[in-house]
Amino acid sequence: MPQLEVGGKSYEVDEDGFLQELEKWTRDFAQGYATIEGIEGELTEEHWKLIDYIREYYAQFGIAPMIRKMCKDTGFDLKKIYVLFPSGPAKGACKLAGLSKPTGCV
Amino acid sequence: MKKTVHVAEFTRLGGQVTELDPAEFIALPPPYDKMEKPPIRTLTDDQRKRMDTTLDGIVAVGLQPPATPEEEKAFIEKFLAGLEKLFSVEDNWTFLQPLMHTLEYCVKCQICSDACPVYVSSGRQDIYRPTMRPELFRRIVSTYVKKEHPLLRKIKGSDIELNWQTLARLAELAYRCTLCRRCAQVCLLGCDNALVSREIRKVFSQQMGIAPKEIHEKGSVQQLRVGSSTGMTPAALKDILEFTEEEIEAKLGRKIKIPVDKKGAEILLIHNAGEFIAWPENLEAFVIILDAAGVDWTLSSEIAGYDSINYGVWYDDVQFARVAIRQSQAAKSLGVRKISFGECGHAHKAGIVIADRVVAGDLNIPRESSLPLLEEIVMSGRIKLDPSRNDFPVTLHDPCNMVRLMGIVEPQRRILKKICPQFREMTPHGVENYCCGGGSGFAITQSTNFPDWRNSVSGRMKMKQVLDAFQDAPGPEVKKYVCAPCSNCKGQFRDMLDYYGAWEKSSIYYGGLVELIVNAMVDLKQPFIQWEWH
Amino acid sequence: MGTLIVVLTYIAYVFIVVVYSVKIVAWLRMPPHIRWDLYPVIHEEHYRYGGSYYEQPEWWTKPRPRNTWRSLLYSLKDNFYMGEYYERNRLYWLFLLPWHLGFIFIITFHVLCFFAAAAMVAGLDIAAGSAQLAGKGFYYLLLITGGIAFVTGTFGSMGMPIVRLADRGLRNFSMPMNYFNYLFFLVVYGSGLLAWLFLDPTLDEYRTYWVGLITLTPPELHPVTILHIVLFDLFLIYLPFTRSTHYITRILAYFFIRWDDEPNLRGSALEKRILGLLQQKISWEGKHIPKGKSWVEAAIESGLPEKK
Repeated sequence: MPQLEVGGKSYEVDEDGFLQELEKWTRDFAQGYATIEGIEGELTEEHWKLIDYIREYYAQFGIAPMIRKMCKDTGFDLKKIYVLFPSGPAKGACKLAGLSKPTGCV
Repeated sequence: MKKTVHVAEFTRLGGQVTELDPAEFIALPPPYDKMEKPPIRTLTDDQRKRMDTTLDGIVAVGLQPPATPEEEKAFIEKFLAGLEKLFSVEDNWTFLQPLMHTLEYCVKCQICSDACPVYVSSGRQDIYRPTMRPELFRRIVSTYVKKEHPLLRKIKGSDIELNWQTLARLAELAYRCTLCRRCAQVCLLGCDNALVSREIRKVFSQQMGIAPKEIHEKGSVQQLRVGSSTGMTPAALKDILEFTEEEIEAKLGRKIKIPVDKKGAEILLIHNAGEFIAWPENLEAFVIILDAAGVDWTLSSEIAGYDSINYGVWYDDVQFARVAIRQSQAAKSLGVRKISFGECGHAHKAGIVIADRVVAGDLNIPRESSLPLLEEIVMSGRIKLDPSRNDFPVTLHDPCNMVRLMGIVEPQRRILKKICPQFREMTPHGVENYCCGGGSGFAITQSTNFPDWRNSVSGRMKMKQVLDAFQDAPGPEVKKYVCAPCSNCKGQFRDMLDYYGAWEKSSIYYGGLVELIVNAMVDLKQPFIQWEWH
Repeated sequence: MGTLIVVLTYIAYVFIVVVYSVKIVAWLRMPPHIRWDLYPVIHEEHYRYGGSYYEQPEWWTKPRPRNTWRSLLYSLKDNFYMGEYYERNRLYWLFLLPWHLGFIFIITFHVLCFFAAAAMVAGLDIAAGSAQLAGKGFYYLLLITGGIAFVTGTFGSMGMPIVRLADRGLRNFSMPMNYFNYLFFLVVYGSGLLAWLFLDPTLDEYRTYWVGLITLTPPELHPVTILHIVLFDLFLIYLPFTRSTHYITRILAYFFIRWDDEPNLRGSALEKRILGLLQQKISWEGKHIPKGKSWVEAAIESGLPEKK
């Protein structure tokens, strides 16, 4: 398993940098990872709103939320999400939220 | 002149058997002939240490090199023991006859090579010839399983000296074939080199427990554990369906209750659960059509009952049987009269055709494709349709599993001809179609640089076909629709169109068949197809 | 010499018939497999575009018309035509087809010789100037089949190694045995061609040979004809060691694999066989497969590790 250094700590990730140990996630991880993902500066309130939403949904249902539901519930449209997370909802936002890579025919 | 790759090169330690050169790939029409980014990422040194990349620099399986010579020996021995099982009636009655026939009777005449989109797209790289892996496989069998006399092996040219890396390359090579079986279609001797790819995968999985994570661990294993390879539990399903109902209400102006676990319904619709998350509009469209046509149907919330996928069809007979049985059990417990499969190619082939000789007795519940039912609904006039709402260029992609491999060719065409005034075929199409490039699990294999290979090599022929089909309006000013009635193919189109920037350059969008039907329904105030979700 | 070829010929024919039969029976005795059909399926009603019975709603309630004759003709056709080669590699086809026609015609020629000899023993006069129409017909039939066999066989055997060496793909996948075959078959056909052209233009010696075989009297023949006959007998003995059974197994593969779309209906004989096969024990060693269980037992289990 590859390891990734984020903010001075080492995390187990998959080959594409998705965190493998959900319980190790901290806000520092997300902030540290943001730099790697090319998001400049501190994560804003809007970033956190999406990250928290994704984490809450995951805690409840064990999967990432549907993108459309994410848009509807957070009030961000897809364009806005791409502005916040240039790699997009799955490869960007979910990654920072510490979720593993989506699987199945999605 | 191109360098020829001999089978012997698979046994060479270190190095790469083939270096892919994007300049050799078949040309796409402009502006796609000039790609801005390098088409295939190279792996990091660290990744190369952890995973074997000595076939072509691409990783689908990524076997970890053995730490000690003993480990290497044990690995090879276990593999060879598995190889023997492939030739036993008890362990492999399922594919013994077709496999034996191919191994015995292929004359390596190479006419299947040009039928293979991977081989042709790659600029005719020898390693991707449909005959290459069976030849490597045959030599291993001749030398180590049949243990033929050295002199006979000389005469037959079937001698090989095995090492761990040869097997690592064989495992990778088994995942460079999409199992589209175009090669088998042109074989006059009835051989099926694509099946050999599957059988190699099978030895690795059933004997060694080795398969791409996305297909096994996160795929069929996860499906058997929680109900779906997406990780969707029955509770998540419920939440998603509630959201889907809201969406339908917003679009249709009235609420439809999606039937779940309705006892004694006529039809159990088994849909691909990935659709619910990634393309909910497909499920919405099914719901709207079935409701409007007054069909008595239901979804199931049982394990495997709400996800039509059966990845075992690509690599593992036991996993296959497990899922097939659970899908039938879900139908049996609801007491439905039949199972209908939604727009998913491999689920069609797996659930309707292949499961046919796995489920028996009262588990053998009639199973069919949803396409003939949709055709019946569209043709009957039970729902009011206005084709002018679909007045944009539409082409149809034929999912291999549904078309070449089970003969459902015309229902989808008759629907499109009725509701899409600008429908046009690709060349070739129908049972001679080309694979989308994402077949046999490729579309869901999302790790390392495999997606780059899939988009630039295995899908290239399809990309070319799509662009050619729209050559009368190539620019971005005309919106165009690739109809792909299969979740797996749609996943591939999504990735591939994005990879080539086809929305920005040509406004090419993709989606299923039912979306076009609902888009033509006069009941809807707004267009159902939302191009902005490209 | 005459006795030798009588004995050798009988051995050769018995050998090839027995080994071919064993191979084909072994092929057919393999258990039914999982369906792996590939369209177009020629016995289907909509075979022209590759449609199947799955195109209709509730297909199990509908008739499934099958045209077996069409399938048989379709599969046999390519023994004489090889259309895919014509379309995809014409140079190869140009030699491959004559090479194969050589096989078909030389065997047909010998079988016809047997019938001709039998007719001769019964009193028919086989010659160009025969007073009997059947005798005349037989004469020309033999001349045509024999002539075609020798000419196409020799032509094909000479061209095949050339095209195999010239084509990058074919060359890479060649084995030493391929070239041996071409050489051996060239000698077989070539000796026949020489004997025919220079010594026996009416092919009369073959009739004498076959009359000798039927009456068990060693025939008196020209040494070159004898050479050809000995080579041909060796050819018959050698064939079962090559992939030549594919003349027959390719048709079996079409019928029993590619076009096998027989549904497993409840209570059918097929269902009974499948249920039997599913009871067999499997020995695969993957962690997700239980040890020493049958297919059915393994499939009922989920294969997941026990909860920790």
